[in-house]
Amino acid sequence: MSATLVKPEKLLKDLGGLWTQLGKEETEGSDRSAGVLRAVTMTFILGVDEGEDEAAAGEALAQLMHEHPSRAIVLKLCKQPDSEIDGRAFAQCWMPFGRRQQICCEQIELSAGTNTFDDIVSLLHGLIAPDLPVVFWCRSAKLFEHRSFAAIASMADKVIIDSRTHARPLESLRFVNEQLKSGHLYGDLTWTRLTRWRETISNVFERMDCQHFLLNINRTVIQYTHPPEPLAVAYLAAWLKSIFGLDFRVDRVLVPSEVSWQISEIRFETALNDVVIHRSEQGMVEAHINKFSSRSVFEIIDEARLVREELAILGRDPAFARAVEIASQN
Amino acid sequence: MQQTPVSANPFHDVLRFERRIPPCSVLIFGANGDLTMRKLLPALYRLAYERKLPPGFSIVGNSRTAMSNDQFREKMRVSVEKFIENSPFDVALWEDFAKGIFYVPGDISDPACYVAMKAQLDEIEMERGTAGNVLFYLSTQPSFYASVVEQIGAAGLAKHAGGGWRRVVIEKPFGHDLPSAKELNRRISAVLPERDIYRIDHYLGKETVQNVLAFRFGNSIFEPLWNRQYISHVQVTAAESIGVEGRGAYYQEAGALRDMIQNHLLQVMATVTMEAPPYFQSDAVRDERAKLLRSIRILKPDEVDANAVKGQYGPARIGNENIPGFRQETGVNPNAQTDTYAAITFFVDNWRWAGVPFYVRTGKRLPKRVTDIAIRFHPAPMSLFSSGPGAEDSPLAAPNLLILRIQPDEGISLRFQSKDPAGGGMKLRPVSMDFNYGSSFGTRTPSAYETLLLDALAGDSTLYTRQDMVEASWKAVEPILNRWNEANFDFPNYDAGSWGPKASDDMLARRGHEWRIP
Repeated sequence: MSATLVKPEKLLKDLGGLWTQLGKEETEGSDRSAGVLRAVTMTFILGVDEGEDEAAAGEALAQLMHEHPSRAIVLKLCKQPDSEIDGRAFAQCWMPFGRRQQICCEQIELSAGTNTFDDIVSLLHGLIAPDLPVVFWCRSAKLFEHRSFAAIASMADKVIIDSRTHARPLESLRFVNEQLKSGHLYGDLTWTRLTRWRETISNVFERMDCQHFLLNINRTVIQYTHPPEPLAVAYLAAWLKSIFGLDFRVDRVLVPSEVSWQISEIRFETALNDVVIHRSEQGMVEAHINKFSSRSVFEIIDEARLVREELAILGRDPAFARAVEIASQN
Repeated sequence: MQQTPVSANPFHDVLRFERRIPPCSVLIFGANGDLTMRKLLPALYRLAYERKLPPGFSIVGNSRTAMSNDQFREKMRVSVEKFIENSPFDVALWEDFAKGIFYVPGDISDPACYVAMKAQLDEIEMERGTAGNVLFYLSTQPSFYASVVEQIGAAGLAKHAGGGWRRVVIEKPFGHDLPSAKELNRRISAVLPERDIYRIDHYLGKETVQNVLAFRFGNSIFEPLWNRQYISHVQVTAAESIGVEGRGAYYQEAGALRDMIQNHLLQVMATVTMEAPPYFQSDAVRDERAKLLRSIRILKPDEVDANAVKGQYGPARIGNENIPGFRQETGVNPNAQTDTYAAITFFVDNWRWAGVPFYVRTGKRLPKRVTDIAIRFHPAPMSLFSSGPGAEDSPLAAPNLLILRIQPDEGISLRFQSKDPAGGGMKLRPVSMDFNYGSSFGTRTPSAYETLLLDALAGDSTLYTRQDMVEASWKAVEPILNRWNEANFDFPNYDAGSWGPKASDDMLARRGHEWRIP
C-alpha cells in the first residue's frame, strides 16, 4: 500500500473549509445563534506517544485551549517504528457558560513512527500560525530522546518537558541547563509542581515573628516518601542553596510512607526552634511555627494547570535557571 | 532582635507567586449587614482559598447585634457558602479560616465599643502574629463614617506603637454634595493621613475597567488616534434592567446622578480620557485621573437644561409582566422627583479633548443590563465609495466605532467598513472585529471586591479614589444637582423597559448625534 501524501497546504485548506462549514452550520442552525468565534493566540505543539496516554493528553490539551486558544499541532509518535506519516485537521469547539457564541480552535494531528518521524519536522514549518508565539510541550519521553526533538524545539519560543517521566532525569536536567545557558527558554513540570511548596514556604516566612529564622537557620531537612530520591527533592534543595548559598546544609531524608506524594515535610532548624511545613493530606499542608499552626490548601494540580503556569512565563525565569544550574551539578 | 524587612523575603518568586500581603487583620464595622455577607466575606474567603492571604490573617466583625464568636462564624459560613461565586467551598479550609474570625458586639457611637475592639486586636496580634496591621472597613451607613473614624482615633486605634499600619476603607457615597464631601474629608483627615484612606469605587476594581488602561497604554496603535482630531464623540452607558429592588427609600434620596455618574461613571470616563502616567504607581495614575476630572467643564446654570436630562420611569408592561413605575415602588414618595435616569453631556477642556462631547447616561428599568463605552470616530473625509444619493446617511455608512464592553460579554469591538462581496461593485458594509475577554482568557475573573481588598491589604491605592478626585467630580455635577433641585419635573417621562426619555435623544440630536443601542 502506498503512503498518502501529507502536505501543509492540504491541511490548511482543510482547516479553511472547516471554518466555512462551521460558520454555515451555525448560521443555518438557529435564529439566535451568534456564530462561531475563531480564536488563536499561539501555536501549541504537543508531543505524545500513541497509546493509552493519548486520552489524558487530549484532555489536558482541551482544557488548555479554553485559556489559551491556539492552533494546536499534536505530534504523535506511533508504536510501529515504520508507521507512515499521516495527518488530519479538525476543530475543537466549546460554548462558554451563559454565552451564545461558540469558540473554536483549530487542531492538526500528525503521526509517524520513529523511523519516519523526521519528515514531520519539514511539515511543521508550513503549519505554524504566523506572528504568534510557538510553545512545544514535549509530553513524550521517547520524543525527547528522538533525533528530531532538537529540530522541533528550535522552532519553539519555549519548550516544556516533564523530567519526572524521563528514564534519566538528571541527564535531562543537564541538557536543560545547557539550553538555558545558550539562551533558549525551557520549563520543566517537575519544577512547576514545586511552586506550591515554594509559595507555602514564602508565605510562612512573611510572618514578622518568623523572619529572624532567616538569619539563624542552621540546616534544612527535606523528607521524601519513596526511593529513589526524586528529582523534585534535588530541585528543592538547589533552590534553597540558591537562596542561602552553595554551602548551606540541606539534608534529604527518606521517611517511607504509603502516601501518594513525594515530599512530605520541610523543616527549617535553628538553635532555638523549628519551622515545620508538613503535608498532612492530599490537598492540605500545615505550617508549625512555635505554638502557632496554620493550614492552607495544597491544590491538587493536574497537568493542564502545570502547563498553564509555564505558559504564563514566556520570558526568562531566573529562579528556575539558578535551581537547574545547581541541581545539575549533582 | 534584628528583623528582616518584609520586602526582603528571599523565598519570594515574583514570576510565579501571588503578590505578598503582610500579616494583618480586617475589622469590619457593620459586619451583620448585606455588604459583609454578600461581598466582603465571600471575597476574603476566596482570597484565602487562593492562598493570597498571609498566615494568621484575622477578621473582626462589629455590629450592634449580640453574638458570640461562634455564632458570628456560623453566620459567615452560611453566607460564604451561599454567595461565593465560581468557587468550591472547602470545609477544612473554612475551619482554619474561621479560627481567625472574631466578633465584638457594640454600638459604634459608644467609646466602650472601641476599647473592646482594641483589646481584641491586641490579643489577635499576640496570638496570631498580625504585627499590628489593621484595615478598618466601614460598611456602615454613610452618616456614621466621620464619627466612626473619630472614635477610632480617640481610642488610639489609628496608630500602632510597634509600627504596624492602620488603614480605613470607606464605601461610597463620599458625601451627598461638594460641601458634605469636604466636611467628611476634613473630619477623617484629622485622624488618618490621605495615604491611609481608601475610598472604594468598585467600578475601578472591575477587570475590564483596568483593561482600558492596558488597552490604551500597553499598545501603540490606538493612542495616536485618541484625541479630538479623530474622535467625534464618546458615549458611556450604564444601563440596568432592574428597578430599585427594595432600596426605594435610599434611592429616592440619592438618584441616578449621585448614585452612578458622580462616582462610577466619571471615574470610568477619566480612565478613558486621562493622559498616560509616567509610571504605573498609585499616585502617578491617580494624579492623571484627578487632572482629567478637574478639566471637566463646569456647566453654567443656564447651560444645564441643554446638557443634562433627568428622567424617571413610569409603569409599563414588559412581556407578560406588569412593571410598577418608580413612584409605585415600596417606600417611595408618590410625588418623588428622583432621577432614575440621567444623561449628561460633559466636555473636557484640555488640548486633547476640547470640543468632543462625552455623553454619559445611566438608568434603571432600561431594556437590558449593560455597561459600555463607545468611541465614535470621525467619518472618512470623503465618500469615495458612495453609491447613489443618501448613501452617506445610510446606517451602513456608519463611521468607525470602538466599543469597550465593561459588562456583560466583556471585551472590545472595532467596527470598520469592508467591501461587501455580494452583488458586485464597490459597496461597503460595516463589519466588526471582536476581542472577547472570556474566549482569550478562560481563567476565572476575580470579583471587584477581591481585587480591591487585596490592593488595600497590600497598600496599593491605585484603584481607589482620592479626595481631590472626589471633590472634582462633585464640582462637575454640582450645577446639575442645583438646577434639578430647583425645578419641578413632569414625571414619569419614560416607560419602564425603554431607553429613557425623548429629551435624552433630543440632547444628542442637537449636535447631530444619536444614542447607539448597546
